[in-house]
Parts: sequence; C-alpha cells; structure tokens
Amino acid sequence: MTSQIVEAEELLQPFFRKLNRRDRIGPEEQRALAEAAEDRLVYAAGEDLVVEGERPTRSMLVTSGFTCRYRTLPDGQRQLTAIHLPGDFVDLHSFLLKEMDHSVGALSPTTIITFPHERLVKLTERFPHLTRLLWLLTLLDGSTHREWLVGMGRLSAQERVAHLFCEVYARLSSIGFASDYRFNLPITQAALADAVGISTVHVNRVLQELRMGGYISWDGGQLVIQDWDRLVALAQFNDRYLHLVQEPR
Amino acid sequence: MPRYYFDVRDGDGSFVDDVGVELPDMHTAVKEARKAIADMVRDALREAEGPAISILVRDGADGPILITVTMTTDDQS
Repeated sequence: MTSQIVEAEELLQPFFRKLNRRDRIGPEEQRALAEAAEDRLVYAAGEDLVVEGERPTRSMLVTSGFTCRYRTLPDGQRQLTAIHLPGDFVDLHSFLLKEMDHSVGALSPTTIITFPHERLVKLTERFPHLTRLLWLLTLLDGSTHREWLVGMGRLSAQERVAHLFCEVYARLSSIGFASDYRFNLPITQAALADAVGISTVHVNRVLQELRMGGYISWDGGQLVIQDWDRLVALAQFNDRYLHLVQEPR
Repeated sequence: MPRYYFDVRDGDGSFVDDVGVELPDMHTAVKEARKAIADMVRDALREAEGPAISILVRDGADGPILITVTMTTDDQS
C-alpha cells in the first residue's frame, strides 16, 4: 500500500464513521475508497469549491471544516440549502447530474479530498454495496433538504435556528466530532441568516433570544447547548431524517 | 464599509445591538431593517395579539432612523 493511500484512509475516517453509523463497511471497501481518492485541496472561508453551471470531472468529500450548498438569485439574495460537515460527500451530485445546479462554498477553512468521476465509475462497477451506500448518501441529502423545507415553511425563525443547531450537533456527535452538547460553529451570522432564510439583523435578535431563554450560550467560538431537551422541543426536532440506524443496506 | 447597529424593541423588551452589521450605506441599512421587521412581525403574530416592534438603525455619523410597525387586532363582536 502506498503512503498516499494510507494518508487517504486516514483523512477518510470521518466518512467511514458516517457510513458505519448506518451500515458496516469492510476493510476492502475502505481501501477501494482510499485508492479512488486523488488530491487533497484546501480552501479559505468564503471560497467556492464548485460553482453553479460548472461541469466537474471529480467529486469532493469534506475532510475538515464547514461547507454549504447554496444558490444566489439574480437580485443577489443568497439561500443556503444545506450545511456540510467533515465526512460529507459534497458534490456526489455532479457525478451523475453532470452540470451543477447550485454552488458549494467553504463557510470556514476547509480541506477536501477529490474523487475523479472515472474512478467512481470503476468503484461502483466493482463494489455494488458501495454503490448502494453512495446512493444512500444522496438520499440523505434529499431527506435533509425535505427537513429544511418543512422548517422553512412551518417553523418560526427562532425554531429554525434551534433546529439547525440540533441538526449540526446530532450530525457532528454521530461521527465523534462533538460531545457534551458543545461544538465549534465556525460560521458567520450572515451565513446563518442565509441558511434559515432571514435577515442578519433578525438572526442577531434570534440568537440573543435563544441565549436569554437559557437554550444556548457561547464559550469562545463554541456553541454550548444548555438544555438539549428544551432546544429539541422548541425546534420540534426529530433525528429520524438523519437515519442513524446501523443496518444492512 | 461602515457598521450599522440595529436596536430592536418588541414585546419581550429592548435589545441593544452591540455587534452590528457592515453595510454600504444607511439606505441599505434601512432596507435591511425593513426586511428584518417583516420577518419579526410574521413570527410575533403567531404568539401575540398585536405586536408592536420597532428597530432603531444607528451608525456613527448620521442620526438614528427609527422604523416602527404596530399591528392591532380589532375585535368587532
């Protein structure tokens, strides 16, 4: 095994943990994924990983940092449609959709690992189980979009922000990146506002309300969830859409 | 870009903004405040009968501009 593949296997640990929360992947499958990896790239906060309209020839998997999917309207308004965390395949979509219908941007300093599409073709031909798992990942993107759609249509701004905090904590803790109800939230208030579809001024007020209501507090750059049960109740959060059940798929 | 501060007064009390947002000019700041107040009224109506919400937009140079929305419910019965 070359040192590059060993390094890729190391970088892919959050991804393997994500898959293992929902199924089991074997050592051979892990190695095949590591072998399909190509470059490691670093992005600064605010940089785009891929832009709407492009036709990427490789897909990107986040190994550290926070990224987002977003659309910008002709009038300049931006809406985030998902937040992606370490272990997430951010544009597996371009593998089959070809032309990007949205952009992916770095919300914080981000490291990614690329997978050339032709290698993904070979991988999916050799490993039917991995193919189903990659399929599962895009279904998880879909279930998360559904959850955001419900929140956008039916929750108040405060409930939406609370829901997002519940989601990020549930996802980070599921891959061992957060515990004790605290996590680094390296995103600006403007990005948070664009994620929940309200103005920055309002998000400022909502954060203040959540803090004064005893739901959350800040400790340096860390968000501390003071009362998980109350935050969950406020957000009407149910982690069913994250499908955190380990079973054969 | 200058920094603008948005103090909010609503049914829950007063909130003095000490963080602020960087925006190109007062005109944009007022537009931002109007958008924020529209969001806030939408949420407040779910809980309160007649919310009264105001936002005071401040910067270092121009005098503050106050934007207020008051909603009332008339019971005709």
